[in-house]
Amino acid sequence: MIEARGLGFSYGSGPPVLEGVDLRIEKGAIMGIIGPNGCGKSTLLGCLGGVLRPERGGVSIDGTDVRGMRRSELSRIVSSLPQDASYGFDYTVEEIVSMGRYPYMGWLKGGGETHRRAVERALAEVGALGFIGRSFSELSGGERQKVNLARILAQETEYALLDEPTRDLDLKSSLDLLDLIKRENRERGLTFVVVMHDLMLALRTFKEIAMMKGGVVKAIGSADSVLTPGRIKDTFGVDVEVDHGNGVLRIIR
Amino acid sequence: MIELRKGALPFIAASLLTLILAVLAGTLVGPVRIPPHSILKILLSLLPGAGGLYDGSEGWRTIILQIRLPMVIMGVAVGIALSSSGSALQGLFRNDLVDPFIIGISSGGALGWVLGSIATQGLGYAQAIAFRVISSFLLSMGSVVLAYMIARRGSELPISNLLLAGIAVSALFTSIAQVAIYLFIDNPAEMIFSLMGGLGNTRWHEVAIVLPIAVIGSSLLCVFGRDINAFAAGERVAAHLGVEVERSKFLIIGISALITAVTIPFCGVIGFVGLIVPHIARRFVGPDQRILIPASALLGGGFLVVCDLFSRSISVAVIPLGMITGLIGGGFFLYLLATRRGVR
Repeated sequence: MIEARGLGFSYGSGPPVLEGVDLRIEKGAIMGIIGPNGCGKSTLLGCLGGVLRPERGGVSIDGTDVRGMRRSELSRIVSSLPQDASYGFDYTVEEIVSMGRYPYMGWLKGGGETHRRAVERALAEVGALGFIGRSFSELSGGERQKVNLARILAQETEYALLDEPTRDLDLKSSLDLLDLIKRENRERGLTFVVVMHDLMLALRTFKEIAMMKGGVVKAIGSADSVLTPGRIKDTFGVDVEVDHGNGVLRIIR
Repeated sequence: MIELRKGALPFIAASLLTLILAVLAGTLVGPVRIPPHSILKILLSLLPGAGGLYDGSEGWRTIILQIRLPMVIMGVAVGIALSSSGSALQGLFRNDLVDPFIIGISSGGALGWVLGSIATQGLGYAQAIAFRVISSFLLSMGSVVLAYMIARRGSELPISNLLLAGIAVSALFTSIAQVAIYLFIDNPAEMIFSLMGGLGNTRWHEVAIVLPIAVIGSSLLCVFGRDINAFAAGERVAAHLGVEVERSKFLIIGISALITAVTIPFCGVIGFVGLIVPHIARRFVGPDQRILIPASALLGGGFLVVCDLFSRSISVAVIPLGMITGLIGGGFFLYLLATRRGVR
């Protein structure tokens, strides 16, 4: 379980981005985090993964405060995919997915049979084994995100934090990626915390949703209880109709 | 072990061959003509038990063993240092336009050397050299940290900012160094000339300082290769892959600055080698730093000696080596800027 208590955070001397966030993510959960631009979603992910140090409050993972954990230790428990992940140079798909194995590698030791198998298994899981020798930069947006997801899977963590993984994807690729995420959650018990903008995709994907606004979590619970017309109006200023039975969210204005 | 790309092994073999040929050619070229077979005999007579192999002129022997060979080996050491430093910095800053010269490390080192030389006038040789190497290192570190801090915006490091900050810091430090030379050095022309970069008058004890630091430093950078690869995915992902971001970054910059700075008191400023060499190597071995750094080091050693051969053989007067690398590298840099694809 990842537990955040009273998180407060600001960048440098800027205004506070998080103002007292409390959140519990059970092991095996698949949770969406939604909220308008600038409400602190990405910052929250950074704090949950231990890469940003909150000014107030704290985060614990399975009962241990992340501040007391070394990066090498944490990297075997939590993985993360940032918005528009890029790799600066022309790495191959294999080289990128292999990065997911770094937490288990020595300094100079590279592959080895275990690592190789983990890389191939991860690529097979997302249906991208055929890309293994190709250059990452040649792939389409949807293919790239599959490879990025494979990197997360190769890391063999218990928790994965994804920041808007469908942001640049077309509808079909988005649905494919979210289906893969749901399947990994269901079949392997990998816990996902996913920042999303698209409310319709969120409704379709997540059992649990946390709704944020202005640096605090306004509502958290089942998708049914959080994605209500009243709450969506309050948080996003948009009128919607929601049919939870059929998983439909219709925008009125 | 690390998976190698297809072109990697042939490239490494070719680089090694170039290195060996460059070293041999380096002992051949010079104002005094010495026949190749005599040079070979002189070199082979260094092998244990082969002392009697060479019975020719003692003058030739001195020219080869005390003048040309230390110069060429110094060239190899400098090439190793600059190329592996360039490779590591390009990876760390996620950009192939980076080079120890461009982001200000070299100018900082030059200023450190000048100030160190002023401060140690009258001191004994060993103390003076130690002091100058250290001041060169400290100011090269200072210059890159300064450029980095100016360029950084929150958690972002826009490359245009880093290049601009590097140019500004370079210009400032170079000017301070030049003013200091004119104010405090008795023979300014000589010092300005040696800052232009060259391997002339290299002594063995200087090689004994630079070569081990270059080799050990490059090897340490290889050890950080995994971390540098992780930085290519951005600092946040690197942290999630188990990298202690700030500590790693500090050590990688520190080692890169050290191996660059240690060359400056002996060979002056030699720019762009760290830009060109990793570029060529990356084409063949790929961007994985665990193989790119050793491949760049190997190619860089040969590349620098070849550049030095040009600097000694184009005209009767020796053209400073830094100008040769500047000519090749400056053109290459322009070519890169002109043909770049959009920022990824």
